[in-house]
Amino acid sequence: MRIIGKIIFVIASFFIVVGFSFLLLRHQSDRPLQAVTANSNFSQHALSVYDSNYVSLYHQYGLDLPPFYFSISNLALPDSFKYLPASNEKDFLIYWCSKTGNAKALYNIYQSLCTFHNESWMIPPSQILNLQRCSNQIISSRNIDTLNFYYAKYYLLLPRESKAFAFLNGVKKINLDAAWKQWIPAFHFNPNNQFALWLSDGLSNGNGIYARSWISKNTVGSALKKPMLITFIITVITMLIIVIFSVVFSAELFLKKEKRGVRTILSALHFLYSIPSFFIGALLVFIFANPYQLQILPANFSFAPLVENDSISLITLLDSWTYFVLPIITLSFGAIVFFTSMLFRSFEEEFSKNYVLSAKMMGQSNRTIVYKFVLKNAVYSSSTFLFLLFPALLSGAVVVEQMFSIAGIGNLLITAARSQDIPVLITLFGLIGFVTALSFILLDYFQQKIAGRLLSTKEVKE
Amino acid sequence: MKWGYKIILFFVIVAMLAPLISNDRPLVLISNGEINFPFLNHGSYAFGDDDLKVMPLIPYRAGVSDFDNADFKSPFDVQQVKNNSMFYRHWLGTTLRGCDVLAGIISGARYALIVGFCSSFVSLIIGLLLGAGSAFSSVSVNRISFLQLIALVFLLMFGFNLFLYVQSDLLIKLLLFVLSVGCWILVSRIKLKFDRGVRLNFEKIESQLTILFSSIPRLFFVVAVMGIFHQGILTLIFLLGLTGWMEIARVVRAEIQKIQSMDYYAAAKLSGASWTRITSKQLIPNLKPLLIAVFAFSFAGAILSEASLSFLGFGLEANQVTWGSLILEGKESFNAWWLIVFPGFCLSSCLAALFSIARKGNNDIYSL
Repeated sequence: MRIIGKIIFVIASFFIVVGFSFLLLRHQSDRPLQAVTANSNFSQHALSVYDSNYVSLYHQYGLDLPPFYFSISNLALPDSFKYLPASNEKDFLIYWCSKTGNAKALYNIYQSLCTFHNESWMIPPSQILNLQRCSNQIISSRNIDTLNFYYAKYYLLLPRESKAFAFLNGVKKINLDAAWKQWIPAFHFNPNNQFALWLSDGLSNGNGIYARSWISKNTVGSALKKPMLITFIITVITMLIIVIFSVVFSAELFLKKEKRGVRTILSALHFLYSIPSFFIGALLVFIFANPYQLQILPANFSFAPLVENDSISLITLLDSWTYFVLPIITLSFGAIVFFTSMLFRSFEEEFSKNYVLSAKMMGQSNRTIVYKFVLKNAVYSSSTFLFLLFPALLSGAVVVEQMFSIAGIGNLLITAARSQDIPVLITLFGLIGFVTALSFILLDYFQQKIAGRLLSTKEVKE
Repeated sequence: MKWGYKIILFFVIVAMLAPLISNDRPLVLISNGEINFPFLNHGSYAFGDDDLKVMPLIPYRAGVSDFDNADFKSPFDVQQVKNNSMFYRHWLGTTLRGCDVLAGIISGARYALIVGFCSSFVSLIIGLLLGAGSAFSSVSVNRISFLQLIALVFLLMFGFNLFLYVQSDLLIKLLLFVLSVGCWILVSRIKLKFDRGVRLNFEKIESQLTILFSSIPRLFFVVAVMGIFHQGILTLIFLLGLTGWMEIARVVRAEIQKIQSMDYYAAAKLSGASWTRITSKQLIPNLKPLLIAVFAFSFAGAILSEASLSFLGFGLEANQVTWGSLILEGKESFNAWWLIVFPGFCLSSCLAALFSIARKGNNDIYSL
């Protein structure tokens, strides 16, 4: 049951993180359209709101939808008003809704304004300036009487055969009768929203605005495919190396701990841990990949056969093994130091227990005791950090990938952040959060299993 | 004094006196019988060679280029400096644009300490509040009646609507909010017989919040948010503080729970000591070494994050020189070892000092 609760919590946290990033985007509603169409004219609200091309694009990409399922406002204000494209009209409508509570009439005025701007060629040129002044006055007015006055003037000026007139004909004069509605808070629920759109067809079809990369115009799924694979390969190899090396190092150090050199190594581990990974990476590049020094290993991962070929196979992976050496050393250095000293400590703890004493009495050598009996228990006690290693390595990969120009997730994140490619950013962020939460769940499950095992042995003893 | 504190004190002194140590303006300038202190001003200062002046120890400012020594001059190279004097030499070499590396390191110490201290202070406050809150709430059972809960939800919705969508004067809004809070207090006094209430488990909420925040990789989060918003020192401090409190909260909660299970705590409670007395005499003195350790550890984490961010090109603005940005510039050239070694040495010695302080404070948690 605890595991199910955790999974529900992870899904909820995923929703929270991605929904929060949509909410963060609310303040720059024009940025997506500018990026998609590469047209900077769309930033001018007042001009482009009457542009039918702009409005249809805005609707097509679902930008007039609310960002999330729930929103809080009052009874007077309908939810749709908050997501209008132009801030000028939006302010006007929100203000008058809360003043009058007469949302329907106001919405009709807004629609007739839009249709008027679309069909203005039908109106004689002498009247156009007059009409535009009227509509601007309606938008900027803050007084109920002036609103009604300009509304009437606008109504009279419109030609009888136009669509805008037909709209306004149905609209009655605006009254203050339902102003009390603004004081009552209300929940609005919208199943049709940007987040649902992004979840449903974002990654597969690529229809929504957050489904395609704004820079490369590819779907986010295809943009993520190869970087994810490369980063996954590197992190898995690094994890294996970390586990093998730290186990061997700590066991050998523990077996020879009486020697003087070993003691200095142990005290040096503290200092080695405080060396940041990019410093080590830069030093390694300077020594091993330098045309003026030793040019043994390549430093630029983008020339690897793994990246240059379109398909990733075992042969290309084996061909490009020299390209993996420096990144993996850089990535694994700090973790190897950390695990070595931690396993050493747990070896010391385990060695004072009774089963070690009995094994010694049976005549086993220290080496067999360490590798056969003690190692298992020591690794169990430090399993917490092993599970948290994967997300930590992903975070560290950002720096290492930038240093060796590996086309992985970290590099993708940085290029996306530099060019404000928000769809890629959101997807990457959700993905990494999901992976981390998954490793938390696995850790919980693993620990429960071990705790159960330990408990049962304790109970047997008692 | 332990060596960790000594190193940190050295960096703090250097960072505080940075404009006095490295500056391209004189500290004191006497011209035409007037005494001026040009290093205090930001504008350009013209002075002749004949004027009496006291220059700082390093007569260069971080990020200001010296084109005579551009293109990666090593510390051992022949440098074209003013009057060929040792005083004007670039002791730790120059960058591509001829900026002095030693001045850059001093400015980097300044930024690293400011960002590290402020952001770990922010995370210390968040972690203390949440950790202590969950530790205290686990002792006493908090129940909230169902009626109270509904009224609270309605109050929150009302406040949200009031301050965002209701068009009225701010004074009237505030008055209404105060009135509604009063109503909530009145409502919460009503006790219905069938209303058994909901248990408020703050400890559980805190632990889930900790898991949620620790499932966000720090560098990923900061880079992604920095991409959307503008870059700057305040944003950086806030973001690093927001992503660094989880360890502090966890440790503080465990330590307070340990203290609460001790005999001296029970004795103090039984003898009728007040909450303030228990906090000041029992809790804080026992928590102090741990708090120092935890603060040092998160300080180190924040400095490391800041350095890696400026190595990636995010974080501070372009004209602010830090240790990470110096190493980034060193990456451009294959021969410029002085741009990697000296800032990297400063960074790792600072981190080693902080880790040693953390180890001294609590050997169980931070002993590596």
